[in-house]
Amino acid sequence: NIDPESLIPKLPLPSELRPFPTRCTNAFVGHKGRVRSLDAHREGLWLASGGDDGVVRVWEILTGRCVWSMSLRNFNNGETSENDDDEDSTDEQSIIHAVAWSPNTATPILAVAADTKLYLITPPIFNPELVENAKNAVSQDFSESACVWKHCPKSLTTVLSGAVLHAVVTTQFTIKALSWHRRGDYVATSSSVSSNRAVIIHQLSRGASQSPFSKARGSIQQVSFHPTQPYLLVATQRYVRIYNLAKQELVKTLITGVKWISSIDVHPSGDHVLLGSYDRRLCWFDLDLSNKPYKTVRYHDRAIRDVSYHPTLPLFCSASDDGNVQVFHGRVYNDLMANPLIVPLKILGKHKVVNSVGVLDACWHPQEAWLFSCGANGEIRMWT
Amino acid sequence: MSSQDEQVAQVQVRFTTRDPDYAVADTPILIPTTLRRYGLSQIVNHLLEKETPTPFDFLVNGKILTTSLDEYIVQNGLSTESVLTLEYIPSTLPPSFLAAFPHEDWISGISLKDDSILTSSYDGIARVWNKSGKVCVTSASLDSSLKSVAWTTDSSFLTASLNQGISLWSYSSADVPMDDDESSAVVADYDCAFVGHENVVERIRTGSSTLFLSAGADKMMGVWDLERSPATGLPTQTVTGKRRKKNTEVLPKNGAKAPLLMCTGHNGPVTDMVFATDTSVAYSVSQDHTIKTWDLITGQLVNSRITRAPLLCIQNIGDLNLLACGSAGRHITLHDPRASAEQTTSITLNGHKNFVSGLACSPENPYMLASVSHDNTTKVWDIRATSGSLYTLSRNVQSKSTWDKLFAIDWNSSTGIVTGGTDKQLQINQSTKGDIASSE
Ligand SMILES: [Mg+2]
Repeated sequence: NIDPESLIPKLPLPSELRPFPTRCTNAFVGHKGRVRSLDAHREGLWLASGGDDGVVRVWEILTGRCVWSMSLRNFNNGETSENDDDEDSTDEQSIIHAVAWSPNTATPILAVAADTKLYLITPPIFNPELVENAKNAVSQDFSESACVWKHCPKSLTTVLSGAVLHAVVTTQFTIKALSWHRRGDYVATSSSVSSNRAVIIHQLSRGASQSPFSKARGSIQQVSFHPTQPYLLVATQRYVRIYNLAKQELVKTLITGVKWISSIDVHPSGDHVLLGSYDRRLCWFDLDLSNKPYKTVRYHDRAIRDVSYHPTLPLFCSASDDGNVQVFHGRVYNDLMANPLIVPLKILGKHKVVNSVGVLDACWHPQEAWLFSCGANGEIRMWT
Repeated sequence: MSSQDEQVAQVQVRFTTRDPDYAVADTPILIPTTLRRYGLSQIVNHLLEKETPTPFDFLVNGKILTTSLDEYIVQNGLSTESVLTLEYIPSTLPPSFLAAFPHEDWISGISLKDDSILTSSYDGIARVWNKSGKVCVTSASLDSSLKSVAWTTDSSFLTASLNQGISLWSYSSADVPMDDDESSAVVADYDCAFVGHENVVERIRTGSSTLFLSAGADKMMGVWDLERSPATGLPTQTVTGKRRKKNTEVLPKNGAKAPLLMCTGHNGPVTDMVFATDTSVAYSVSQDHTIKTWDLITGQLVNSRITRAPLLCIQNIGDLNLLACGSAGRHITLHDPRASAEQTTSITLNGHKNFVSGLACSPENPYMLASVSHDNTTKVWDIRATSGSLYTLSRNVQSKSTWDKLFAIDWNSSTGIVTGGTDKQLQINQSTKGDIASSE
């Protein structure tokens, strides 16, 4: 007579797994319309954001102060802010889909994707030496390549409000996602189209872009460089393919079981992959174990928009159109036989849901168990 | 004894005080255990037979009594048979709102010197206010938000900025306009730049000598001297276009100076620091959760103590050998810097609902301190009362945002408690000498 309950391994209580974010302690106020992307700088001082209003902003994390902003709308319209009377309307050309800081803190560069363009910017918050390093990291002698690289026109420098715009790179399709290589010399962009030119890798030191694939494998949802190997993970609607860029070969295809992938993230160890889907599923893959999910859960009431591992702590999160961010404990072990430990910790809510859009992106503070989330109605929140 | 008296539990108490003006006979007297502070205060005033009553607070075993005697006896497992010694101290009443001085932008730092109030703001300007709310002196804008200010002399002060800079400003007291004077504020001379930080300078602190300290987001604490810091070159300008022109308009009269020392060892942004009572020692706090002790002669790290949360501010309660630290964990912790590093926190003050961003010690009472928080309140604490703050001061102006936050506080006897933050109002609260009617 064995009680079946006793055979289920007991999960630790959330209270034993502190720290994790529990409450909203700050808001970053200024954006209009959807805020689509957030990224915290590695040193934990600055948060970058962008969205439908076409304004890139950098915030002081501790205070919530916007310390720099730049309107891509003004940039595209050639500085004239006089015709800017229709502030709430969205201008397709300037919708920002993704912002991401270079992981190399010695060369502080913010990559901003809007429409078909990739902007490489150093906001005026870094010391002169770092600004100089960043300038030197981007070739000023652009080569003929898969995309057109352009310098910032002299007439538009005032729009930059003190920032340095290293280059504007124009691709063929609207860029939906960005991923930096860990050394900060390559940045990959992807567009949600089925084309062999939907994924492009841009190299800063050469001022050139290349298209790594010769044929289309479905509409691209997101790309991500691997944190330790020369791999690129490419998510289409149903599959995640892992390519070895050095050997130019397919390493592995993850069979996800979901209908439409919205986002992926690679664990800092490189051995695990997190995936979120529009059909509400969150999947964890242990790459050493199988090409099928180690675990799939469906906790959100609406589409999952973003999934994210904490860069240093055993935490991860999923952000959804239901207006909530769910926080999990996710511990991995060096022991190959030990399975990852996953414990749901907290539902952080609630963001406003406007026209069925809730939370569009979430990102972690690089050191603390602090989370940032953004979504409809110009909202950006900090959870601690 | 009547039957009614038998039902009311009583206890023998001995009243003592360290203030000879309020001394009463120390013979134990029998009083009902239902009494709280207010009733006890009435008894002492009765014994004192003074014309105007004084409100008192009561200490049992060094802790402020916040319950009835009965609850105290039960909670501490005492017996009503023994004699309870109650030390009484004149109460301080909640500091009352005096004035609010509107700023153009968020207030980041406050430094008081006698009647003069120095503030720094995100608009890039430092301002000296007199008590009537007139701006007497301003700094020039160096095109970067200011994060902190500190007086150096009666007519000079330091500013710290988001763009890694520290600047010394000076003016002639004779030029300062009087209250009834229509003339506008004097613009202070840009005296000297102190260069060496590689990131935001979060705070600066001056001490009793010409030495001053700076907390850098570059993980370093700078040690500088107004007189002895060596001369150096100004950093090269890298900003482009219009901004370059604007910057070069304001250059320091006496050039730039380098730090005496840069203390390295923190693993996150340094947020605040204080001189020890012995001014050759300083304590710093950081977002890396640690409190570090530094020898300022050698720049050596003497001691490091880790806490649970990112630390945002520190004060030295020198009389009691305690360091008070405000944290992102919403609490204030008190540490004895002499205790070995293994010893954990002795006291935690809970009550704020968000980050504790600034601390100030009472100029009069060594047990009192005040704190400001991102919850937009100011709290006054007596560290002998660990069950909560004595008072919570709200903002006098209606908050326009649910996310209003306070960043700065200072407290001196001639001005009071001065606070500021995102509502752009410099708020002054002043202690009032109390009367018993307003207590409880
Ligand atoms: Mg994200």
